[in-house]
Amino acid sequence: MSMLDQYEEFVGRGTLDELRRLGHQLEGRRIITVNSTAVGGGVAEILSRLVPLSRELGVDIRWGVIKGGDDFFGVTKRIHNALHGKSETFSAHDREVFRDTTQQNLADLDLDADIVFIHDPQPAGLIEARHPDHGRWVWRCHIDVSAPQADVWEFLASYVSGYDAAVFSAPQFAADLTLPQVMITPSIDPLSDKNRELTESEIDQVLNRLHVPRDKPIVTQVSRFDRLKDPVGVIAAFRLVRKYNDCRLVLAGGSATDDPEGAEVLAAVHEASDGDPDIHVLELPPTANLDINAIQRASTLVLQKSLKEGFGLTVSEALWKGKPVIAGAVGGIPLQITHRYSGILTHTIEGTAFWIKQLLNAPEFAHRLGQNGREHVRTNFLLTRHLRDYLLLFLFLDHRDERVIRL
Amino acid sequence: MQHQYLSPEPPNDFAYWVTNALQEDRLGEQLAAIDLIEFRTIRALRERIIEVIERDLNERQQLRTAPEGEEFHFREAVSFIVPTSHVARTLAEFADCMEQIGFGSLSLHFFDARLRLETGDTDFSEWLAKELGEEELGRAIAGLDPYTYTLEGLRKEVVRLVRRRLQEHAA
Repeated sequence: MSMLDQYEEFVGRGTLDELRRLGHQLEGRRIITVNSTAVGGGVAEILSRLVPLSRELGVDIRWGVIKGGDDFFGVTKRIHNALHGKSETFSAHDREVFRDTTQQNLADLDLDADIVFIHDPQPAGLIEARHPDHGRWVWRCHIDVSAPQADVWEFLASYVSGYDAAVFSAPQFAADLTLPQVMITPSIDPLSDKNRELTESEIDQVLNRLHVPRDKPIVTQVSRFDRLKDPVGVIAAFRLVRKYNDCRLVLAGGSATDDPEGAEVLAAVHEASDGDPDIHVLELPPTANLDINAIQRASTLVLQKSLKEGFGLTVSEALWKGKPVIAGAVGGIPLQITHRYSGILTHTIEGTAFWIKQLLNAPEFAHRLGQNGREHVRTNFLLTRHLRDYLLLFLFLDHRDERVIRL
Repeated sequence: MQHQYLSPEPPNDFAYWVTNALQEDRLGEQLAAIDLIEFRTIRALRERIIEVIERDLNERQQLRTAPEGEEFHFREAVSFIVPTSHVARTLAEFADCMEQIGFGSLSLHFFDARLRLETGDTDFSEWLAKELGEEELGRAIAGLDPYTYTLEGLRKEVVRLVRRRLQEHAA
């Protein structure tokens, strides 16, 4: 069975036929996509699926990765933070490091292609290789650049303005740019360890190993231990619920050993949970995808009580498992949840507690939210839709002034 | 594409935002209740939406502002029309194709066609009447209110009407 055929059970033959037709339309076009890492991180994870799937469709696509030293990635980490609105120093030396590494990569990478598809700020400077009358260049921005630190954005925009189009994950993440901006939401892979179907015995094994009994309803939040994910607020909401409903709370997140801020938040979480045997704080390694899958599947409700959020794909992960989700109405979450149709959007601790109680006591309504959520993810947030949008984007580059494109 | 599974409560984006972000239930209900199939052009629909909003604005003193992060972002759609491998020459083949086509195809020939043809017709009913002489079946299909079905429900209803007609032929 081809890689693409494995998605048929989720999206149907019609969707795969559509992808094949679009792939056919791109015949003869040479495409290169470039990011900053071959493994690790969401972008590499998605490219490691999308590139081979595109090739299966007959698309001539190569994947390049830029190289850089610790100094370069130190600078780009600060650029990343500053674009998110955190105050960072950005010196003349930092600019020089960025430019020097860009020059080295320009010398090493073969960027001769009909379409050059660049991800995030790190390789944005490769635009300098642009041939004046050949090839289309697209910058794919995976982060929220709507309120950046001015000097950093100005530096980056000097590169970005040379592209033919920019792609953002949500309208509210976009920047003030004169080039066409395209919205393409991210996606989850239904075949990955984090999302694939599990048997009851696989789920039981994981929960046993993590010492989480399945004797009463489980309410879960899967998130880094980060203030913006409000894990302490989740515990406060849980305590309000527990006055009336017997249930367990699972807070599952990455281990915070390398992250001083994360360690502080984790300590606050332990203090707030105060040894309550029904609150399970799980520090999982980054490779624990199967564990997260099992925890989500064992849950009665899933929370994502974020105060600020990127796209928040953990919401789609839970919805895909048919779980009712209660989440903060921030970042990309309202694109994934339509309030009271495919989940619940809340703004406060009290509101979160209110809806946890409602859904625990109205399992049929909760079930319907989960089912609607799963269908919403099936249509809008699976990898095949993401692939389709990229293929359409590549085709759009030759029809930028048209609003109805007949192929 | 929320429409296809959230029916029977299919809010349009404007009605949903007015109800949930602005919390203007009355105006939201009026926007949701606009009878979309009554309009044969986008211009007429746009004018009706403006009229409903202006009527509401005239009646009130205070206006609400959406909470931060819940602003309405207007987007522009680019449509791609791609040929498929589904071709029907007879009513039976048409029924088979209807069972197989994707939702994008159903939307193009049903929803988009109404606005494109500006006759209130769909591509399906037009073809059935013109090419197969099935005027009555065509009218029955054109008479469906697609906004009150899920896309899968709409497909099933069209297939049901076509299969019933095939049975009449066979009888």
